[in-house]
Amino acid sequence: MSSDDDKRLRVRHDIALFFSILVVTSMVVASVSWVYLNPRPVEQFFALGLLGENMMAEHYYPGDDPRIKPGDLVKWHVTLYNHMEGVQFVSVRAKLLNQTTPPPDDLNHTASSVSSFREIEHVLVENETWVFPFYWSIANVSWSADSAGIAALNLNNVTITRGLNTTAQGGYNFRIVLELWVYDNETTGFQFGWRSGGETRSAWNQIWFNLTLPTAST
Amino acid sequence: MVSRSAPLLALVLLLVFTQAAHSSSTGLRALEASRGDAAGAISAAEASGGRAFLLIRGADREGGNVTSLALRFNEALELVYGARVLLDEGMLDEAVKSAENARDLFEALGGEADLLATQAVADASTRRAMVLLAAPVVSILVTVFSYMLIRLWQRGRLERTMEMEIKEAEAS
Repeated sequence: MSSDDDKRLRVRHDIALFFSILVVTSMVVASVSWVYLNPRPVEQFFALGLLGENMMAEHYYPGDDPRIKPGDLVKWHVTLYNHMEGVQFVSVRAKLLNQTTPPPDDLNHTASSVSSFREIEHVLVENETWVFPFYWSIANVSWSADSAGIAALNLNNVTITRGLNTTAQGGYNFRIVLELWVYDNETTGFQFGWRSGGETRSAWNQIWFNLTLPTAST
Repeated sequence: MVSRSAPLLALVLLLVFTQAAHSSSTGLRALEASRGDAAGAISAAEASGGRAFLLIRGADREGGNVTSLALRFNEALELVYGARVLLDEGMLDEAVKSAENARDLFEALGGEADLLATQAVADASTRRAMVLLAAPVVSILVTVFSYMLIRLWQRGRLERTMEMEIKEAEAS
């Protein structure tokens, strides 16, 4: 093919085509940039869990027997997952309740009125799962008529005597409730539950047990 | 003899009891003050922790990496809890010391979080500016590249057309 042919084959510039491509490309690049600078909001939540001795949802009691004697070591693991799109300051509050004590209210998102015997505070970054041991045993009991109370509780090698005012008839149907409280910027204090998408949400967990005394050996 | 020395003995005993009572009440006051000091130190540490957390959250919202700050914040929280346990056990001096250590750590963390937030704001601003500047450049580059490709394709098509030969259809 000669150089004359090359000249004849030269394609004329198409300005309309160029600007059409420019407009389409600009729209695509602008969309990608906007999505990058303004990431889509995701659902915000916490997930509070309570696992047994082997970090599974089983073996919550020594020998799988919910009748706990003074001195029995009960090994639980509390898990908390933060999916709140940012760092969070939380307090897991452990409370001792019986069958009739009102637990936290899921509808109104109010905590149980019983005072806590332990408040475990922690800061979690986004997408962090925090696991902490909750190893407890009953250190001392008190009996009054037919009601049993826990006078002292050993939790993670620390003896606790406060916040254990709950008693239970015959020692039956005690429960340990774990409530999730979240630090609130506005009130600069902990609040039960959190706000997500204009709604209030809350998380709590409980496990029942019975208090028994060791049978006297003759 | 006994009757004459009895008032003197009584006076001595009275003085001893008075002194003992005085020192006992002073000791109790000192103990109460120490307990109050410990409780006050713990409250101050907790308040300092709240302020530090707000600064950490601010840095986090600006896009700063607060993982190490959160780790150290949790260590300070352990110190505060330790101070509470020591207070309950009556180890007041240790409780005050633990609470003060926690407060110092919280204050240091607050300062670092503040710096991190400032840095994160600057980084975010730079990143935003880079994206806004890069967007038109990328658009033009993609447009020119696409346009050149289309022209090449058009030229190739023309060349294939020009290379065609006209042949007479063979009679069947």
